[in-house]
Amino acid sequence: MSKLKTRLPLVVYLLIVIIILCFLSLLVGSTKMSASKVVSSIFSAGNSNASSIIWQIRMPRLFLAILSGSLIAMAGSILLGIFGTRVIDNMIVKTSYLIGSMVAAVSIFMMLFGANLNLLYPCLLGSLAGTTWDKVLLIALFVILGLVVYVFYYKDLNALLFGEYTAKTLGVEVTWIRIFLFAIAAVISLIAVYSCGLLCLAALILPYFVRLATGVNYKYLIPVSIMSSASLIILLDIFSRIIFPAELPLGIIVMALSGPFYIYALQRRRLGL
Amino acid sequence: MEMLKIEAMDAGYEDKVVVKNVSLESDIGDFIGVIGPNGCGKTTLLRAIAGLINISNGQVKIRGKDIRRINRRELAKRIAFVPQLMVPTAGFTVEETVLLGRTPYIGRFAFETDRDYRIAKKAAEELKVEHLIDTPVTSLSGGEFQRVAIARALAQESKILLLDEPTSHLDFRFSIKVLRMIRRLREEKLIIATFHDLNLAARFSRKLMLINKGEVVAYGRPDAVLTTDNLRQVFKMKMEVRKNPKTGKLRIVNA
Repeated sequence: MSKLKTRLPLVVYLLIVIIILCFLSLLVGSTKMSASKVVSSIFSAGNSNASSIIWQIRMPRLFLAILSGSLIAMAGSILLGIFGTRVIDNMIVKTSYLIGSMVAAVSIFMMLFGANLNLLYPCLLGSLAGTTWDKVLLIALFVILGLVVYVFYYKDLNALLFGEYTAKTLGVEVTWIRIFLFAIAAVISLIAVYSCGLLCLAALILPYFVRLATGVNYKYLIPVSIMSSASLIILLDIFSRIIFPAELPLGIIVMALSGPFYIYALQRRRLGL
Repeated sequence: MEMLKIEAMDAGYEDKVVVKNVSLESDIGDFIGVIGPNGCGKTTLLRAIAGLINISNGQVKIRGKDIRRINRRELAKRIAFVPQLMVPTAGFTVEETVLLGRTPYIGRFAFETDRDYRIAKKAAEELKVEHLIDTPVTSLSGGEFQRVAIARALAQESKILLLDEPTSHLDFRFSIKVLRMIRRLREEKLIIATFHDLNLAARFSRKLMLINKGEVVAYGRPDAVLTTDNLRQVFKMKMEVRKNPKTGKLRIVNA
């Protein structure tokens, strides 16, 4: 099958990239460990200091990076499917407005109850430091929800690609599907904010670029987006640990890096590409 | 009971009525060509029949049932629609595009079965694109893609097939080829297609519907509809209708 021949290599490359990044992510941290020590600690889940650093600190953090990336990729792909390339305009204008009011509302709420606003900042800026397995499990549940929606709704997303009229003549209840998928994307985004911070949502734009490489067929777009996005978050999380002496929040790095991509995407859209 | 019955239908967008008082009764085996000047409501008429836009008066019935009482999925098994400007979508092969036509048959929690693949393959064979089955649609020529778009509609196995200007961006040779393929489908379907080329419409349709400003001016056999008077009234132009004495084919020329 020529389909597989052309599509498989990308998936294989991405898998190799993810595996390498996973290992690097386990290797890097405030406690210096050699590569062989890391490997032996992974396979000996004993009570040694090294293995508890790997299993209690670095492993949950790595898993959260993968899961966060998956959530953002799924939300981004779905939004792309419901709004088309208008998603760029929509995301920048509406989402920033929405997020702005959300942050304001939460701040006011927290101040009213005398809570420490410092609690808010991790949620805003995002950092994967101090991740627990409990949090990983909770987030994993929502990733599974997203995957289930992907498996059963990619056909509708594909039909929507051909325009509202064509989707309707293929039997898709366009209005309801849009509302339902938007709700799912909203829930997934919200969980992503809880998982890696608000600013990380800037990576929602990733599927827009993955699409240029894979085409828009949702059967492939979502898995490839998930893998790329997971790689990206692991990579940036590694950066956040090594670039500066004190950890730089992940969200700031994502935000700063995605800026030019938004400008490029907007420009493309203005030119009608 | 007739396959399709339109009763004094008014249809359009929001508050704007575009087609007025259209009535039609038709059955399997028919090939109706819809003609008329640009903006007269040809596309709107097809969209109304497909249940895509608001029908403000009258009704469209399939085998006696009002289309507004049929849900989308069921309607998609009865009516297939090939829009005028279907754009090839990056990331889809010919097979995947044709398989989209199976969407109404695949349950929410199910996937394409062997039967769906078989039907898609048969549709591709019918339109002579089966050799391209694994080709990305973005590398097809206009004529090939138009046939893929029709094969997709064919995979819906609907009794009614609506085609909006199926030859609008094909060259002459491909137009004839595609229309011959469509005409062959007539045996088991009711086909309604819009045309801007009067000669092609006359040559391939069994019946013609001439529309002007959203209203039906004439409906019937091509030689009864394409009269000098009708054409002058609608196109505001003097046209001559010639009949080839040997083949009986009509030819419209600007006189």
